[in-house]
Amino acid sequence: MSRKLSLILMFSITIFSTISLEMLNVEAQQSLQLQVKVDKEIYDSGEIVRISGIVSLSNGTGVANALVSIQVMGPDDAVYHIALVYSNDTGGFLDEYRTPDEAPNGLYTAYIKASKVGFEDAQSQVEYSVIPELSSPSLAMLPVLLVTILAIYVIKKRE
Amino acid sequence: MNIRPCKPIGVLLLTLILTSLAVASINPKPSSAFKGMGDNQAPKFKLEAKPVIRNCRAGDAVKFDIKVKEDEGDEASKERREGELVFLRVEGLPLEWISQLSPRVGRTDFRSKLTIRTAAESPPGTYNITVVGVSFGGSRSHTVVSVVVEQPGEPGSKEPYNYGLELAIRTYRAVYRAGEEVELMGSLSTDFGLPIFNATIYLFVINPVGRLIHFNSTRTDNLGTFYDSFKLTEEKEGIKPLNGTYVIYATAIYEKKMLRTHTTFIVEYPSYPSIQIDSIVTLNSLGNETKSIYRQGEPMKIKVVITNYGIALNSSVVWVELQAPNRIPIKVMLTIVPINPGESKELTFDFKIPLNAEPGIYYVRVFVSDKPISTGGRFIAMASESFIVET
Repeated sequence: MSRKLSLILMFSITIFSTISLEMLNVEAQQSLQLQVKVDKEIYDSGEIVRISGIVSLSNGTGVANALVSIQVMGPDDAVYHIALVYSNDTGGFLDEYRTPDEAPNGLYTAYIKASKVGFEDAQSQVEYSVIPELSSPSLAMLPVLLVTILAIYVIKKRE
Repeated sequence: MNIRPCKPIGVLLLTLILTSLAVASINPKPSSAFKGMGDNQAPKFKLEAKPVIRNCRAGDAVKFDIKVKEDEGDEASKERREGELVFLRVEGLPLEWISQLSPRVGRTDFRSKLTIRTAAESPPGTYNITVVGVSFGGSRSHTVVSVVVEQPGEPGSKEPYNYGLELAIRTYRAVYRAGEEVELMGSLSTDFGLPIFNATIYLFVINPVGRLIHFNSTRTDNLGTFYDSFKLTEEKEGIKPLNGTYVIYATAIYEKKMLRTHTTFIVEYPSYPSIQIDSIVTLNSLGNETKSIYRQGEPMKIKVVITNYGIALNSSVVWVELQAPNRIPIKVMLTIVPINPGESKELTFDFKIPLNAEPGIYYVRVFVSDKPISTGGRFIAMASESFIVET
């Protein structure tokens, strides 16, 4: 009986101490972890790009109030967007912006850095493409064009 | 072996009790709501408007120069090395009128340009608008300007603007010592400086090792202002306040909208980069006059003043992103500037409003980073200003 009681007490004290140390945060600087994604791989000009992610510790715990710095560079190496957002209670963050109509087509790279006083920064990047969709008149002309090419091919073959 | 069914429950209860004790012993107590409300101290500064009256047609815009200067009779101001930090607000603006104070915050003595756009449907008459300055401790001063609408305008000639909200927070000083009281003040307003009343504000203060040392919730007053203070006392277990850079986060919640911002202060010496964007002012093409309303195709200048309260930055980057009314970024400009501790820098950016620019509210968002994010940098400070583009 006393042996079992001792085991219970030791187990409880271990839990108590672990939680205390975690909350006190007196250990050396912990490293932030950063996961980032965009909601699509290909966007049209003028479409909203959503960059989201999670700032966490190595044990998966979300980090609130981390500063998330974002810089988006286009295929011409020009900067097209910058932002500073804050992570929420669960470490999540979101930045939304609309690509300008005049933005060049091609590959865009978003560089992201998560930082918070008392922690080591984390960095990541994500890529997406901007490719305009075919406009309706273009789509309507496509079958006509294909039929014309086919007709010319058939005629020439008969000749 | 007899196993009593209540034993696992006993272990669980004991663990829960000990866990609760651990959490309760470490969580800082939130202060009571409404703590830190301004106690309306005697004003330490004065406001002067020039001119005090302007005439116009309904739908037109008028401008006033607002001078904010220290009260010469205030003894404390004579001893103070830094000027008084003052937030400016506008009260009594008629419906569908818009106003722009540029800048909206500054340290005495400084000047601000007040631009008022009247509504086309405003009936002729005299309209009195109050400009209020608010400082730490609830110190307030005001001045009144009058707009005389002489003729009716063209109804419906101007589209109503969809404006956003702006949250700002500052500490009374940039550097403190252990044992001192840190006072902070903030404001929530529209892009045009109209105060937001009764918004919920949450404040978190983090020490240099990332530990939460202070938490408070409060509400904005009738001028959209909120206050708080806390003492840099010994932390638990006899640990003195750490030297280094502290971060204050503010979250505002109003009508299902949430805004966040932050500021920093230092105890003894900085441990982290810390930049304050003191002002963002939009100017005419010559850079000699504050301007808030522009036309399509018009060139403009943007003046930014920053101060370094942290460690030296050899190649800090000041960025300016311009956003169109639908928040599309239309231009990103940047300049690299070394800046030492205690130093202030004034930077000017040139921009030409596109000929096909959509009329509405445009935003100037200024960021400062220690280096480009693409090469491992991070944004240290952010602030924004707005201006209007018309056809």
